Amino acid sequence: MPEISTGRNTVIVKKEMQSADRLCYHCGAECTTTNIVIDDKLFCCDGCKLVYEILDKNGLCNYYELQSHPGLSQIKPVRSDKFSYLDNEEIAEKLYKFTDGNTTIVTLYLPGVHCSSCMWLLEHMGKLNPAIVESRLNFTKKEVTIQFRRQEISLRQVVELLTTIGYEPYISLDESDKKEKSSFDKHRIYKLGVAGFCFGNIMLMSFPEYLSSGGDIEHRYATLFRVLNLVLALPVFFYSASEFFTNAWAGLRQKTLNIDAPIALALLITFGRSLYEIGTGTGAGFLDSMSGIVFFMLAGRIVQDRTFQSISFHRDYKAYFPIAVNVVTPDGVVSRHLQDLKEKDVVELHNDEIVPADAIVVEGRAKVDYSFVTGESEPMTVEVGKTVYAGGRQTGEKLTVQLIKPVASSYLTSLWNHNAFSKNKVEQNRRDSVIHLVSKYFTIVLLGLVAITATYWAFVNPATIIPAITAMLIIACPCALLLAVTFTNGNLLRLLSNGGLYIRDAFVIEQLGYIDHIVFDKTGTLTEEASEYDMRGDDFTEEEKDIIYTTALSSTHPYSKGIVSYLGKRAKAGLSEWKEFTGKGIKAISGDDYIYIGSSRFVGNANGADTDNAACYIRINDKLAAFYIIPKFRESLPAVMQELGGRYKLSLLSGDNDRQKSALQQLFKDEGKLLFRQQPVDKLNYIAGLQTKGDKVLMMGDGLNDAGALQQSNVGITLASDVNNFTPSCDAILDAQRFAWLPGLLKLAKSGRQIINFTFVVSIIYNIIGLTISMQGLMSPLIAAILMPASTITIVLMTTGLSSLMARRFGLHERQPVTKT
Amino acid sequence: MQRAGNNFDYQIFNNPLMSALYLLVLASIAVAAFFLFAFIWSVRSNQFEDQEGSAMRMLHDNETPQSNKRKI
Repeated sequence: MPEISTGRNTVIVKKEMQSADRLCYHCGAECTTTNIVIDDKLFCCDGCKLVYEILDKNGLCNYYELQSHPGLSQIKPVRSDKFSYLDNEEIAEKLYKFTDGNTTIVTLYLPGVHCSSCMWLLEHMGKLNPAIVESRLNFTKKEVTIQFRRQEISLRQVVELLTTIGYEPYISLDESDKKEKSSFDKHRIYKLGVAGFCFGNIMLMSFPEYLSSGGDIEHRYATLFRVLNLVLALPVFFYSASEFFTNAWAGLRQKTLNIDAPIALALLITFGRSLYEIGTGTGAGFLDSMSGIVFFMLAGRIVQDRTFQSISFHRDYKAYFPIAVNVVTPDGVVSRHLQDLKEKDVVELHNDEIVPADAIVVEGRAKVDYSFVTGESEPMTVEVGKTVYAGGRQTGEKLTVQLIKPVASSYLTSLWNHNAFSKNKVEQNRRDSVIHLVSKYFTIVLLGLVAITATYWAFVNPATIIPAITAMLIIACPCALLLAVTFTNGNLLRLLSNGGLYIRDAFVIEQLGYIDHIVFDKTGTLTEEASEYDMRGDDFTEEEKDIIYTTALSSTHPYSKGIVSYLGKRAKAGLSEWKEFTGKGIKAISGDDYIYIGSSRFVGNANGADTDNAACYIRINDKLAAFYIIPKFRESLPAVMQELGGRYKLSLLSGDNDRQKSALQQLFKDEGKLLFRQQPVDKLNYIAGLQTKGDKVLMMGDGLNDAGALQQSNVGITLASDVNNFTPSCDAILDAQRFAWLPGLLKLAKSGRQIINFTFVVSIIYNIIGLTISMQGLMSPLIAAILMPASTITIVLMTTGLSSLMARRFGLHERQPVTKT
Repeated sequence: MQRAGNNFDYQIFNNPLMSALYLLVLASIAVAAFFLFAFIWSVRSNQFEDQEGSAMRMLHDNETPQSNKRKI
């Protein structure tokens, strides 16, 4: 048997161990122990084994047949009363979709769903508990809809059952979270279907007209087809195209000419002229072209507005905070909704729970991890009587605190009252979009040309005025531009998401193209979750290392854990005395040796082992060493910085201390732009300062402390190790494993503008051809019917082809499998 | 269906070729309308809500005969 370490936190496995038969049967993680075995199957932890046992008992082992290692790691146990708040009927009722007292339907979001085994198991929940009548999974949205009998099983039990089999639901009562997910716009799909149906049939009916090429086809045939065309065009004009008219009208009422205005004008004139021609029997009109552009423009908008249904971009702190907390009242501990918390409430916090509001520690040892809130990388020890801030995560034992502020006005949450959060970024991007600028001038230039043509024909041949200018307005509809933009953006959204960058909407892509300054957060953005350790100072003998190991092993402090993991597995030494001094360090005696681990003062650091930046010091008798915890930078960071440095201004805003300043300076090369110990509001203000200087700022962050900066920036990208985890409100989410691809993704987003410009030039050439013909009054339905689809197809092919080509050029073409958590 | 206007020549109903054309046009629109209806129905009944899920679901057996088999 090769030697392996058995500790839960140390995953040091020898190389030869990494063969497939060492993988956990449930979750596929490498097993660090061979003790957890059942039916010849190896498990990495008791949690995974438990899931297997439950499924085995209920005849659900088909789960393991569909996919190998389908489960999610259960190594982190979920606290048993985590969902006790669901017993509170008031909270539970908000989650019910339907209830008649007994039969109840609830829809839950399960971030862990990833494969067909998940689906199979979740749809066979009834076998685990007969009170579950039906369960059905929407795989795309990762939502399971469960129908159960409430008199036999409570919502809490359902949720806990899901959690035991490894699918812990993410429960949020935030309304905006729900609304966003169900925003699948069916009306537009219907409109597209109707337009497609009418377009196809009108083309068919127009065929005789084209083939007769201006000559006389038999009158009665012609009338039949024209009238049918008109009937088919009615739903296109009044139903499918309605959004162009409503948008144009909405724009006009705000005294702006948006892209829909010239389109609406063109549609109106096309329809009017066709109606006139058919009514008077003078021609066939342009109904085929009209329904065609409506169809293609709707298709383009649908491609562009396709959203990522399982990703949420609009979360604020409420989604990060718990739904309910345990409040100590004279009647015992009760679960209370977050918004009902008041000052002076006494709250119990367990390991891994989040402080809901600023509070004073009443009882227990507070070790609060603020990394998500402030960016500080190390947990802080807070003594009884001192303040803990909202958003911090308690690690370790149970803690009792008394709230001193309501939730909404706590130190962290008050950030959301800043006026940066009141502006609507989606609307702003829409207004700043180049397409709206262009459409304004486009309309003005077109109307000018129309006036010139009208004047010319007024002198030459007044009878040609109406046909010439209506044809001009019809052919010069900026639908080509709209098509170029929507199809390019739609394809870029798809390509970028293949590359791991999930973008909220198409206007963000355009904004990404203007970026000239990138601001990074440090903790969690440039650094990985794991840390590196280092020990410098006097050399210890192997026996002494054993003693240090034993001393540190008994402590749960993160520094001690760091020391244990740095030293690796060792023999235990006998300790005759061991004592931990909160906030200072540990003292132990082994034989004749005195061991101190702790702060500089605690270990009596007089003989000057280097004093800067060390996490803690270790002293055995006269030997002294400093212990360092170095957050590990992402592997690809130097290459990414090298590439970005040439093309963008770079800044760093860290909430942490400046221990790694020198390493970061090498990466950033520009000293003035590294700022440390930044509060969330400082970050926001720094971004605002850059913007007043005219910079277009891209903020890369990960935690709640960056929420203000992400909101204030032109584009805020959140880095997430799992895109379904909590991410603060942002414009785009980047898969942390794809950090190396960042420069390429930015280049691709930027290339979007060039593609649109290029395609637009091509479409202008088409327009010029069309306009020249119609200015001479020669436009016939046949020419229009050829030009329109030809230009449309060219545009669609060119935009999708060019953007895919660009993605290939920037090395983003390989589609990697999405990793599960 | 809309009948053609007043100036329409009623003689066409006596022309066998013309009435065949009428029938064919009607038939072609009816077929297309059927597909339009099928499309709208499929969207309305949420068949496009979960495209990945349905593809997986059809591969699952209703019963689970292997569940008691001990496989390594």
